Amino acid sequence: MLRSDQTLWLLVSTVLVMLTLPGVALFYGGMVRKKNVLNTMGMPLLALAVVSLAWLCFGDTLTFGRRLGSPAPQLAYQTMTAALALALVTGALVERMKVLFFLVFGLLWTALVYGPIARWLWGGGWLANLGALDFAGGAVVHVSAGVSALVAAVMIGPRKGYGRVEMTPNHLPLSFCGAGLMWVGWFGFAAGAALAPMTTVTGAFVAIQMSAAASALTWMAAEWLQRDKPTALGTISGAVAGLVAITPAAGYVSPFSAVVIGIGAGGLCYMVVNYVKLILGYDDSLDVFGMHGVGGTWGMIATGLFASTTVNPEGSDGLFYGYPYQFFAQMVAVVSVWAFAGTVTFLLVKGLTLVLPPRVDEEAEVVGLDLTQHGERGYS
Amino acid sequence: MTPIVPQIDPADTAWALIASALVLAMIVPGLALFYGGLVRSKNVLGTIMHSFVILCVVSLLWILFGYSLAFGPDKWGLIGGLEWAGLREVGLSPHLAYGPTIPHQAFMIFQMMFAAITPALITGAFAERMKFSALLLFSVLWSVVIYCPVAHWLWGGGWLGKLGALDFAGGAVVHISSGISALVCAYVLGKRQGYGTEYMAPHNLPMVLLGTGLLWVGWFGFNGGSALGANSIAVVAFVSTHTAAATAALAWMAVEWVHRGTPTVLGIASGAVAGLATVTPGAGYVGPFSAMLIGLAAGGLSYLAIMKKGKFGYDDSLDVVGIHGVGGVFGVLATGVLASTAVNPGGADGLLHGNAGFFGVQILATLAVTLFAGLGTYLILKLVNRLVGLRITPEEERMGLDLTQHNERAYS
Repeated sequence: MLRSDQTLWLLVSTVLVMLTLPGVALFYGGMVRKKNVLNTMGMPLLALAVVSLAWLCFGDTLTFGRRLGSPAPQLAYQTMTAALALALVTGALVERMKVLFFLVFGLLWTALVYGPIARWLWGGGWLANLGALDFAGGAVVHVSAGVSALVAAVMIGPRKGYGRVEMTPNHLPLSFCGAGLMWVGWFGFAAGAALAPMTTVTGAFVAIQMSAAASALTWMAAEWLQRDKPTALGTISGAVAGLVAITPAAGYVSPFSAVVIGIGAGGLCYMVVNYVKLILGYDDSLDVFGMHGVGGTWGMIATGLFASTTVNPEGSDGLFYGYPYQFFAQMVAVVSVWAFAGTVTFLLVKGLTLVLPPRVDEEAEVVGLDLTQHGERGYS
Repeated sequence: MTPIVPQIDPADTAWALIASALVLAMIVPGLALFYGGLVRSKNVLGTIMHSFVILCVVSLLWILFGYSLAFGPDKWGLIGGLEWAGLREVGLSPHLAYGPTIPHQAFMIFQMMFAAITPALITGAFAERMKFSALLLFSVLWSVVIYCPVAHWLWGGGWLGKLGALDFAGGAVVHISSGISALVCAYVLGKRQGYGTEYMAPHNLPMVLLGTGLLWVGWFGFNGGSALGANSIAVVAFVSTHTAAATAALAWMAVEWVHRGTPTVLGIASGAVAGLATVTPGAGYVGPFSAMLIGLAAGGLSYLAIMKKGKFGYDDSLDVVGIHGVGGVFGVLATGVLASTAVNPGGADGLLHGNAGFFGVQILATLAVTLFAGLGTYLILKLVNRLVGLRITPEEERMGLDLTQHNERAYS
């Protein structure tokens, strides 16, 4: 039996994490071209719907080994987290992917990629036994989504005209609104499902705020120094990168470690999004890999550096607090999640492409997905 | 009376944290969208950036030394010491004065959101013309020089608090200080180009309404959370907050209807925000019917102030003075009249309940914060102007903040 205050925090956290989904939809929707805004915003909501049913029918059982139909109190919370992971993947594939392909891919991805990884770290699997820490989904949600997004984007191919025609965001205030809702909703990751004592929740809450703020300023400063002007899109992207990176560490690190993690996230993600992507030439439309893959990886590693038992006695000490083993465990977790998510997503997309076309045809891409796939327009 | 033993109550902590998240929603996305929709489309990103970047900068300042200056060990009743800089001694166990049932850091982060929204409110006064670098420097200096001392005076064990002045959730600390500073900013920066000759219509009113809605929702955290626990005072604050907002929205609408012939939607939204700002200092000390009176007056007074703005000739672009300045002053004074120990035994009785002394203290608090914020802001602006220059060039102003300060466009 849960105490009423534990149930309270669990329910509040579920609602807050749920809020990140419209957040992602708005964040992504504002960044694409006008002709694709509805399709882009529909994807995260579709992910929420599909994953909710999938999680109820098999995800919860696969991951936590609970008997079907006897849901734990955390079921709804875990559902939201799983849905967020799939919603994030869509950002790499928008403006060209078919809805039907996404639905089938999403369902299988949740079962074959997300579910097993969640089991490894949260369901008493081998990484948990190894001692790897992932407070609220740095590896389970962000590394898995980011790496899968990269693999899928490379396999499906770039958007028509990518690199030659300018693809300007259609509505940046919309993206800002989404990023703001993500920031608010991210507090649901402050020990949402852990039923941890409220002191741990408070520490996680503070860490989330500090990392997001530090990362936003870092990205802004980098842009200001290198490109002469700080952009609004860059600054809000920085905040999202900071949120991602603190996710695995939140309950284990001090406020100042969170600032350092945020600074690292802002700097690393800025470099990948602005330079590495251009050098390698892949078209990850909305930088899911650059933000979530990179940010999540950095966050997992940073947890192995900055975790401290003085902050949370139920956590562990990181390398900087005299326990190198934790760093090793985090590295094992990161490498195995990268390898697993990348390989399985590769096989999944490869196999699915044999039976389903992943992309809309060229003409539909030019006209836009809103009109051709849904028969409606975003604005009039 | 038995002494209070500090011990963490999980429900109180949960409420303090939920309230912090709600106040964050007021700043980002709430206030940023509210202001962003009110400006012209060439300035929307620049305006949104003001609130966003202030949130980030103040968060860092706050844990470095801002919190210590505002709430740290008292120095001569004027300011907190630096003993708590870098969150030294601000841990996860409760502090007796700052919420004996919640972790000290929960109080710290709740107050961080207040410290962040206050300078963000000011930005409405100099919208569409301030340099981005000047904005950054100004908000850092303002937070340290104005906000921290004022918060200390009323909430951190400073002289106004010791005299018995009451400010439940920031009528003086947040709204008077930002409103008066906004007035000074508007004077010092001067008018926008074409102010008074061109029509500067808000570019996206639905965005303003979305922002208003988020402000109203978030205000429950702002006022309700100031009870620092899930208790009956939080409920009192909740009810009075909502009542005042609803009343003020209707009052503004009625005045506008009579005065202009048609009620505007922007007017209803402005009225709601005026009501929320005005009830803030009294929220936990007054009953619902007193809140209704406060809301009624807030809607009327703020409308009047904004009508008369033209006469004084300052360009407070998004009406921070009319809503937060006027609302804050009236709210702090109204608390001195209407507060009742029957509602909150931890508060005081106001003039209406026969306690003229308390009303006097509220007047003193209003004057002190007004003078300090006004003078301090003037000096800060002069300094910033000397260092980096306050305004963008007329050419840049024509092109808009988005392109000239951030090199991007909001819409395509």
